[in-house]
Amino acid sequence: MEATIRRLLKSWRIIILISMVSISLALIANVIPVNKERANEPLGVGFGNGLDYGLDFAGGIQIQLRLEDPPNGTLNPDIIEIEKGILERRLNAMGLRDIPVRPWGERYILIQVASASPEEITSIENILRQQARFEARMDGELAILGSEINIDLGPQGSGLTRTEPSEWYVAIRLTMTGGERFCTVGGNKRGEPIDMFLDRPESTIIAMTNGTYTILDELTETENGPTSDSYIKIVENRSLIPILVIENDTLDLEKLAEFKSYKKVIIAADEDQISDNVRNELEDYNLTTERKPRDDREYGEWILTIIGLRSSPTLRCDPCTQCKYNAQITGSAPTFEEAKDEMEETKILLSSGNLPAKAAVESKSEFPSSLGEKFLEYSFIIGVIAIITVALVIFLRYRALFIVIPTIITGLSEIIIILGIASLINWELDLPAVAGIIAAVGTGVDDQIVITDETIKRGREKKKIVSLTERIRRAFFIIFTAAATTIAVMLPVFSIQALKGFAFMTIVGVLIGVFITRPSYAKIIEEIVAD
Amino acid sequence: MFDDMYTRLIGIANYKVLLFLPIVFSLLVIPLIYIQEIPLGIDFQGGTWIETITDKGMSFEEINGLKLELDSLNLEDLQVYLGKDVITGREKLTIITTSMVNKTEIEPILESFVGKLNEVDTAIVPVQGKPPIDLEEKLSGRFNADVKFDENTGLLTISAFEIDGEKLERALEFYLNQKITMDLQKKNINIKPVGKTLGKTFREQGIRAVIFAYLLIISVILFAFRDPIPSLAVILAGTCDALIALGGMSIFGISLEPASLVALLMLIGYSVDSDILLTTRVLRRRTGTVDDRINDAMKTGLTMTGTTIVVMVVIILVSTTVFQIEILTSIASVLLIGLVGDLTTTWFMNAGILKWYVEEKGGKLRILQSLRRR
Repeated sequence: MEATIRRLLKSWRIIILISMVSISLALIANVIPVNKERANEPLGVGFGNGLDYGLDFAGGIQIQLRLEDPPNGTLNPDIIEIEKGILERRLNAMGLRDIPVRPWGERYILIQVASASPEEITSIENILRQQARFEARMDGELAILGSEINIDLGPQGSGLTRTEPSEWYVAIRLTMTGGERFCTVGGNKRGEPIDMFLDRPESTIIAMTNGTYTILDELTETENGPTSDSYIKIVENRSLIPILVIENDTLDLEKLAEFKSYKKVIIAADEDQISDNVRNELEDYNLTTERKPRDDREYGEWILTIIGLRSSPTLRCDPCTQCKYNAQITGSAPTFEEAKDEMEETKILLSSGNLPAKAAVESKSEFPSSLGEKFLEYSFIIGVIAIITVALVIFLRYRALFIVIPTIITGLSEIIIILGIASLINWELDLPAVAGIIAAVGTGVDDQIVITDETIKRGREKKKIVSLTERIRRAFFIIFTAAATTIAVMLPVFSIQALKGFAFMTIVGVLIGVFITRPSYAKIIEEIVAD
Repeated sequence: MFDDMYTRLIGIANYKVLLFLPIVFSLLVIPLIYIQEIPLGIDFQGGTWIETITDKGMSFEEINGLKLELDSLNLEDLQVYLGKDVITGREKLTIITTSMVNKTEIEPILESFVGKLNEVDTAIVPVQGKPPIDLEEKLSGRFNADVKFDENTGLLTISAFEIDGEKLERALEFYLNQKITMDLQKKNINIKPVGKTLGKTFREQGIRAVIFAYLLIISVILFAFRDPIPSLAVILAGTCDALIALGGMSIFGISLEPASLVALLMLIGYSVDSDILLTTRVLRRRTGTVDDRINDAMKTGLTMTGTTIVVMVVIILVSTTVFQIEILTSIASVLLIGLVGDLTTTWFMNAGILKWYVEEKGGKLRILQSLRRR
């Protein structure tokens, strides 16, 4: 027995199996750190910490959106990309980062939110349903509304040159009212910036400290911007958002009285700069407050995000003649790639106020996380019960522990390696994925029975012409054919959004089985029978 | 005893008769499916799925009463049944319909039967004095909760999709620095709507995947055996298994949904395994008679299928009695029905076809082989 084990440990198949299992265990337990945090809490070493869990296990909300055909034409991948971009930017602007927006099929978008409060979900739903508020302003005056812009998302609507620097353009069309207003507001403003806002805060005041005000007053947007306006001027004059300066952490009530019609205050400061006492006071005046500290962002970037100012290209044409209804927005960037990004960004911005395709919520499902935890626990227990059952049946059939033990070890190794690969590539485990693992291990047990019978039975018979290797070769013909059919069944399943995990896990499991675990099992049985 | 099962089997009945049994059986299933129909789950059809947890149990009469009242909403294919909630172990009422349900219409009806419905977990805490202003930020960050304080009543309301009562209580006592009593109302309704067109898209995706999978299997099998009749026998066996499983679904009312589609696909994988084993043993081995080879294959194949069948029975038992996980029960039931069917399709039909092919048509094969050798 000992000699057999020693011989086995020298076999390269067994060495590969053992090292794969060890690496996988390290991955699953996050010893090799594949996951740094979960739900904003740092993750250390622990069994299962290396795995990523889908909504069924981690809990969360899943929303399916259906895009309708645009009024003139049909939905195409370009339009879907734009919609995806708009949704992502608006969700990010709401402070909900890292919400995956995944288009699938011909007209669907899947959105999964792992953790959010009921109100946040309501505002996400609103964002999904409603248009973004896009405004183009000149000197603070409203020039064009998002609903007045149409852009051609086809190949003629935009383009860029392959030169360096690369020049890009996006063509837009304005409606009658839009064109008229554009002419009235921008008639004598050639050479001045057009400020484009996405969801500009309405009836809102920004509160900041004296220090912040001074810095923003001295900073100018010379680098890219067309003017040398200070950021304070941009906020107060070009965006029409008043600033309430708070000195020595006390509220100037006289000044506050000027803003009677305003409903909301954005506190552009952290708690050390403007304390919660001030915030309390503001709330007492029936104003809703929201804190947006700078953290480690640049001053300019921070304040522009707060006011929703996305871009300020220069008006280069006469809005009463040349570009009243048809205009081109142009720009240039040092490389082709950067120019392409800028162009896409502009297309997304300009379409946001007039969604190219209307979106409707088709399905919404909630996965409570406590249910997910229970599911995970039960799946584990049922897995253990299934393994014990398999062991019992195999024992009843062969009446030999030396077959039962390798079968169980092989099956377990297979599960561990599949999970190891899942954690390595950050594949999200969901219920279908667990079903896939079960399917793979199930076929694995089938194959092991084939190997065992081919090896043992003829081992007992009188010496025949057929050698041991020949028998194993035949067993592997069965195994390879069976594996190929399983993979053939699973490949088309990849196209079903909800069952991707199932198909993926089954295929990975079958491949691991064919190339790693089953050859090892064959080796073990071969050595044992040879004894 | 297990060494000559096939020999004994064909001693009882002529193998050519046995051969047709599964085929006839599968053909009979087709009109059954046509008449009885397999219910489509709402994922494949569109509709609404509602689950509520009741504090008090519901009697049979009450459920019928609820059904009657729900009739006023004109819900198509309405199903109402009781079960047990996985987490709390309390009674759970499930309502499934293929219509889209208006939440504001159905909630009052449900409330009159099961009591007050909460769409989120809500904790109400009386607080002495004014809570610190940053409490809201701290709680909303940690619990994904909406926090509101009513100064007139001194009540703090915290709502979230899921509140861990103990954790929240500890956090509140820490932040407020006072002993608190909390009234926690757990969420007790979950509504999942699936739009009709979305359901249709899922269904079409499913059908397309099944057709492609079928074509791919046929090509893999044909490539592996390079012999049309045995290949067709394997594919026929797989098809019959799927039909038998569908028939079982229609009899037991297991609906076609992503979970049972997964089960059907798993079934095809498992059933083809034993057919490939049989075909390989019969065609590729050169010793013994055809019956010997089938006997050998049957011993191995029955161990394979038997193991899976036993595991499925155990899973069904565990998932209906202990854990109450409906998905697992339906997956395991579909597999179980299909695998029992597979015993007949593999060992009555496929074995019979191979025996006939090698013994009666095999002469031709042998002549061809000897010609090639020359």
